[in-house]
Amino acid sequence: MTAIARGLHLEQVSKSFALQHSRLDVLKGIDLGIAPGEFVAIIGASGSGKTTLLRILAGLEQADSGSITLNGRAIHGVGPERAMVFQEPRLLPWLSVEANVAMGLELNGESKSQALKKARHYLDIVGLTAFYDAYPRQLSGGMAQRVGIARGLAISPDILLLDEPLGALDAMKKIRMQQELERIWREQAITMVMVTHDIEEAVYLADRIVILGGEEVSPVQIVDIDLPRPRQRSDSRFVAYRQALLDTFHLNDSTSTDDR
Amino acid sequence: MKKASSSVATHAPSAGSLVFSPSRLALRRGINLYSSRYVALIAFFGLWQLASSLGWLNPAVIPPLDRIALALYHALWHGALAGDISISLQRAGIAFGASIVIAIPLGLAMGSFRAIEQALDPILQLFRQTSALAVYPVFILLLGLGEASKVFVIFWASVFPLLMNTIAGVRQADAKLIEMARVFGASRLEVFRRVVVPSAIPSIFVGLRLSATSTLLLLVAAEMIGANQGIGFQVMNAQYNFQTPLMFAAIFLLAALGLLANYLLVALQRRLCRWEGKRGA
Repeated sequence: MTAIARGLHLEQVSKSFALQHSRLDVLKGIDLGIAPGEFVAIIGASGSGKTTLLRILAGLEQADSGSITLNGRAIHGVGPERAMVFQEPRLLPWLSVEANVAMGLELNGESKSQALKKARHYLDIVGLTAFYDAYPRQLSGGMAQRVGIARGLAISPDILLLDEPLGALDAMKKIRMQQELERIWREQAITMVMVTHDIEEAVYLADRIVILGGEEVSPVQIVDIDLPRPRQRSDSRFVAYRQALLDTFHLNDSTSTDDR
Repeated sequence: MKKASSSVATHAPSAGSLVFSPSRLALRRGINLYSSRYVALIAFFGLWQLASSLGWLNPAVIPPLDRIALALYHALWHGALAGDISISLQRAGIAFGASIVIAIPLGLAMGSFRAIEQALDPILQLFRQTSALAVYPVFILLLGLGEASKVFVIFWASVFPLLMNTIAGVRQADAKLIEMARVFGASRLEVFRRVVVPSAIPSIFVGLRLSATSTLLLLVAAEMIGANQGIGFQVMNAQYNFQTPLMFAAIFLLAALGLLANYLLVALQRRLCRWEGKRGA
């Protein structure tokens, strides 16, 4: 008998896509447990199925086999206990910032005024107090992404799923947003599962890193990042983690220096 | 951009006025912008008036503007033109209104449901490509020479641009935004209401403006072919009776009607689509 299965549990989750003449196995027998309040990063080469895994968790795709449970209950389709932040902010351009955040709440049955009140609260949390009634086109990329994060947080999910949320930002904004994301994660005590292709970002943010390797690496490799927070990027242990992960992808040879 | 278009506001610059206060500069820029926008139009009418009153053009064919204005005034207050305007507005209004009531819901449905679109598209394409004027005789046979056939031929021409643009607008809805709404628990209906319809509104307005243009075009054509009232009829009638000033008066009325319709639609779009920011109309 298993104990009360708190958190998110994946057992033997597989997914393949039908190509024209063959089948492409994207995920093969994934086993993974994520504790409440944990920050898990999923990294892997493109085509390793990391986004597919996140979309399955969100309920946007269906796994071919295996089971996924959240706090003991099986996941079917989308649900308010899981919210998602996309790579593009995906804000509705005709709604103000606060109305964008409130929409998620309204869809989950909150009254308009209650939704707006909560929306403003979460906009305060992500540092957008001055932009309640701005329109999305007036925001920078980083600000728009903060709105996306506020929208995800606002529905008070158990898990926030993030699909390369900082992937489109420039290097400086990215570092700033990583710090912000860590602060929000800590203050809200929420489980975060983030797909990223940025190894340093993963080491900076995650308690554990899940490496999806497709054919090359064994199905799932998990690395615990045992570093005090807030983490220092120049810390020798931080650098060591980063090096080790780069080695996993054979990216540390002096001949190939592109780490994107 | 520094070069002022010197055609307007050339009061002799005194030495003192070389030092512009910011507000005067702004005013000046405003005047320049305004004048460069309308300078061609004003020149056109000025030349017209001059050419006609000096006899460069035959005033019996192209009367001077003051005589056209006078004819307009007389026809409005002492003639039948007011009645013509009202009947024309009624025909155009009913036809345009019917287009809106039918094309927008039908377009939203066709854009949303493949099955409806596939069932209706071939016949609608056939209808759309059939010139309204070509089938006008059919409508007259079916509906008689009265109001119904005129309104119907105008409707026929105005319904398709709006329908096609509504369908296109629904199709334009961003799949990523739809997916986002689904993640936050939106039902099909909610997705339609909160994402698809707002996405389609700019395209619907393009349709409305094209449709308004077609409405006026067919209004005039229908009134010229088989009417004894209406602005379009007055253009034809005045020409038959060699009342060229009245003919031009009616033509200007039609142009004004077109400009007004377009202005109203643009203003409405600005109100509804404030989120788009300052974009060209």
